[in-house]
Amino acid sequence: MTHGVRVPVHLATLAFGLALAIGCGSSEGEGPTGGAVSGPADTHCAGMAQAVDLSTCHASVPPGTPDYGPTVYNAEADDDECKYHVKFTATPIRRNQNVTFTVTATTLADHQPAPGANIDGEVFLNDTHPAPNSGQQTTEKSAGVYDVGPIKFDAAGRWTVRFHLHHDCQDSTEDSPHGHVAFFIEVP
Amino acid sequence: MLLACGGPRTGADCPNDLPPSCPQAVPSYQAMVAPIINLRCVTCHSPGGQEASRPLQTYSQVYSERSAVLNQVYACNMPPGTAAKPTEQEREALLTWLVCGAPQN
Repeated sequence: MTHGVRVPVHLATLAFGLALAIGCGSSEGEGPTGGAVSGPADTHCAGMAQAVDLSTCHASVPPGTPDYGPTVYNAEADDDECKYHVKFTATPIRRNQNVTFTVTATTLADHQPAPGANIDGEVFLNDTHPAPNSGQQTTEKSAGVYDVGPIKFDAAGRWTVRFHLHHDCQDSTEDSPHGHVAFFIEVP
Repeated sequence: MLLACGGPRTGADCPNDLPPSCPQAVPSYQAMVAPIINLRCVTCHSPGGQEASRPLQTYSQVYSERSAVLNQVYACNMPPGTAAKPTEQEREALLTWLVCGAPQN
């Protein structure tokens, strides 16, 4: 009987220690990871393609209100104005850890890599909660392939990551190289 | 101030100074925020400016762009490049007002 009691106590101690170890480690690279949110594939361009003209980057533009498209599911989509196809992978996404997105951009007009796009990631949880400043930089690894990061998500929830291509160009004329597409990212 | 006019992200130099919550004393749009936007943003964000398509001349225009304004100002993307930056006090007032939901006060 004594033996029968001792074993469960040891097991409980072991389980407690294991749980403690996992708990302590969860903020340092363990535990569940997040990522793109699965959902209906983006089809809004449906074969349409808007060619871009780099010379319009700093053109004077008429008044108007360009709208962002809806935030999309999955890890690839066409940009809001059908200029580019954008897909991404990411390092493990956990709360309060630096994440780097690898973004691949091709032009929809000719399906070629989109080099020199100087991608910027606009990252927010909602209208009053942007991601903390984490020294985000963009490096073009090869033509049309970019590392964007570090990006830090400081809360759990469904975030939006909007990639701006040629973000330093005006966003008004149809053929401006500035393109943008926003993805849902779930952070556990 | 919102997008473009050209300018790189300032990276590590950008402070993490977002107010953690909305304080009781919310900065006044009329008295504090609108003058900051007029001074720092409207040159580009008005007819004839490079960001004429995203005007920030009226409360309703600013409100409709409030999320992007917060994201871009907080990340030090705007004002861009060589444009004059908001002072610490201006930045604090603008960020606080936006964190409070951009009220018409």
